[in-house]
Amino acid sequence: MNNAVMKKNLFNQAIDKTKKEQETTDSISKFSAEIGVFILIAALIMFFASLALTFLIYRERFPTWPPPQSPVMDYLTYCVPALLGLIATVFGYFFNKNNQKLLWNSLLITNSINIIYSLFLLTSIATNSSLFQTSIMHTFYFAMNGAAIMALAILFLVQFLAGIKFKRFNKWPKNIFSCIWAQYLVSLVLFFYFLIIVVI
Amino acid sequence: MSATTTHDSINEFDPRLEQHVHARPKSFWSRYLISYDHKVIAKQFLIFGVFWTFVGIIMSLMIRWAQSFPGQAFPIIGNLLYPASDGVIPPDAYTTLFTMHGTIMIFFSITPILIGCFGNFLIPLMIGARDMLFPWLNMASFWLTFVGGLVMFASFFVPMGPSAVGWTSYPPLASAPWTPGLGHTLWLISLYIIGTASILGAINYVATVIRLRAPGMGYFDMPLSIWGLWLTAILNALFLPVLASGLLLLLLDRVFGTQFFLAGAIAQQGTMGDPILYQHLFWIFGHPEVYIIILPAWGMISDLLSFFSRKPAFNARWTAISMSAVAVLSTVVYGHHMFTTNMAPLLTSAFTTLTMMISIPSGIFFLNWLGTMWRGQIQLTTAMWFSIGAVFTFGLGGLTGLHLAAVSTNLMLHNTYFVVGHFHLTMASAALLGTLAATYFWFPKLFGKMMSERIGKIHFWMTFIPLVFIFVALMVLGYKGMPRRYYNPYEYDFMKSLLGASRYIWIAAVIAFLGLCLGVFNMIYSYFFGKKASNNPWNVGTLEWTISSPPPVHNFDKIPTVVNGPHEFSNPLVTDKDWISQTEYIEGVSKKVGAVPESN
Repeated sequence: MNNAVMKKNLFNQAIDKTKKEQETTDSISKFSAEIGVFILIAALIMFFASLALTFLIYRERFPTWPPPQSPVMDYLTYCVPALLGLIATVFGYFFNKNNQKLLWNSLLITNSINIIYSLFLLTSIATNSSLFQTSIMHTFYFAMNGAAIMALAILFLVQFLAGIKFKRFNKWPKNIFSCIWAQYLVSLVLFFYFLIIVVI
Repeated sequence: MSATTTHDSINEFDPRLEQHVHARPKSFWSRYLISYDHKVIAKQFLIFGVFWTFVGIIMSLMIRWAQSFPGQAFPIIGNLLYPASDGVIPPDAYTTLFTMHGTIMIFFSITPILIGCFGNFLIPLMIGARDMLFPWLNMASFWLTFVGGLVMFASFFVPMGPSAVGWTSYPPLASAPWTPGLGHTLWLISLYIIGTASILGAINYVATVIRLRAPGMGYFDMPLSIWGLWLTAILNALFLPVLASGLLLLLLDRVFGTQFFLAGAIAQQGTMGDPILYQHLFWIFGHPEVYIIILPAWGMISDLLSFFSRKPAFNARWTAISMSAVAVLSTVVYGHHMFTTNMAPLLTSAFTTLTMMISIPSGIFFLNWLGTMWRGQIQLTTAMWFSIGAVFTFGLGGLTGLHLAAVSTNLMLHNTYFVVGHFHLTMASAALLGTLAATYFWFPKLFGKMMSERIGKIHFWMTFIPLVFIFVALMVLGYKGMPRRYYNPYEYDFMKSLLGASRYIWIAAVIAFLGLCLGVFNMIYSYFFGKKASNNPWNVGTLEWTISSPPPVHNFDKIPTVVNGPHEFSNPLVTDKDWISQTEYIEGVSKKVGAVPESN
């Protein structure tokens, strides 16, 4: 056996050995996933806080709000889906926390709500953007849609980070609690964001 | 005979630790392109960063040429780039040059090399881990950065050229009515992508340091390089999103006609945006960004000064605490960038005071650096020279920063070359010299070859002296009243006398550029023909030097147990050598470690 083959075999043995040592801990633990998710949520909060603050300052510059001839804010469009996502996540977590299967189902439901919500927003963005070029008062509509879609993209990233393997639905993710926790926090951030921008 | 023994009983691998072990890559594709391995990703960041550094540095040469020889053709590539003006850099190209130079050097050069490359390479190795906590995110971080780079590169080839509004991208200049064309829009998109990539990297860095430290490694047992990288990652995760929000709104202004940052006659009737609002968003991110760039260099310098003084880092715990204090203070001082925006006097006083307060922790670790070298057995390797150079330039930059922190002098010096000289000394020269120190020091571990010390020392002197000369001279020009970003300041009589100084700066810039070329040549030459590196060529005790050079795919056969600090040198109990490894148990010196960090 020549040197290169021997070296390769030794290397593979070392890899096998270290892998064997870790058979029980191959995936990310719940706590690690939560730390990752927490940092991402912190970044998300900074993002939306600065956007919300900018909107509020922008709004303060108008003598009357909403400005004359501007479209009325659609509460249903923005707050209700975010609130639905939040409620579904909270209920999903508290009623099913002792049952992994039900927890997984509730996670699927909240994800479905979010997907429908994002499709709805995408439609909204497509229809508004054509108007937008001619009507400057669609500023808020457009910016909020864009930000919400970005938040949803981040939501999916959070879930990936938390350990969901979307292609392997037959396997329970070990850190399903992190996913639920992430969903809960993202929905909370979205809800307060829309509350600040639309309702107040 | 040494009193050292290996304490095997506490060095057993604990299976509760979660670690990734990657399969051996089988193809070029899996080995180099879609690798999850932090070491490969570090090298990808390095190549990416070196490419963009060259682009950025050539732009700086062109800027200096335009300032030193107004109306004359730029040598060698001038006719190729600007055939319409016979090789002379035209005014519109000049604005493009300083915009793209700033952007490239900050986001595409220093960040990928110092944070992307060294962060990725060092964090797992120095804390005793097999990889980052989220390897997939790590890979995504690099490829997103690459896409961001492609978008920025594409902006050079669109009609009306790339962005030309300054790296700060202030509206209303950055808005569509003043800067039409796709160039600046691509600039915004590119920074958005790069920002997302940096956030992914930051999540990994922070979580990895928290979760994957080797058993026995408390936070104050971490090397200071890791402290610097960790604090940088925290700032990145928290403040890049603020920039992202500003860029998003600016993008909406440019592409979809919103008017968040437009006001006055240019805004559509009935809307009242605010350009200053963008400046707040930008500088809330922008000032921490200064520390995002410099903190890893501070950490690395702190380690290297100790390693090559053969002394424990003086007051290392307080260096770490001071670096943390600077990171915290950096988040509340941004207002000093905006003193000229008609800020309320109370606010300017507050920002002046807060900014001045940063000198306290900075002073502490600066004195700690000097304390580390004091009466040490200094080994003047290339890495040590670059570290000393970084200390010197940071000292100069830090002291001149006080003039800009105080509102009274800031108002006079604002927008002059004094500002350019100051920030280049702190976040460009100190960061660059720190990066080069790190490159010379960790190159053997990165590639398994020693870099040439002889070429390295020539490289150092060809870099250090010109850099100090250039930026001190720029400060003098600024003090004389020369404003930054003017295409031809010598049209004003009072500045005509400064043309000579500008020409000396050009000569220094050329020498620095040649020095950079020499450094890159040294890297390439050493990679192919350099002396093979041993496992621990510098005789230091941090964990990365306990394994082979370059490290195997899985880094450590056994996860090490840390029983010593990272800077254990010249201990009188050890007689046959002057250093102790972090894993080497010595009765009466090392701490006893029986437990592993809490898991799951």
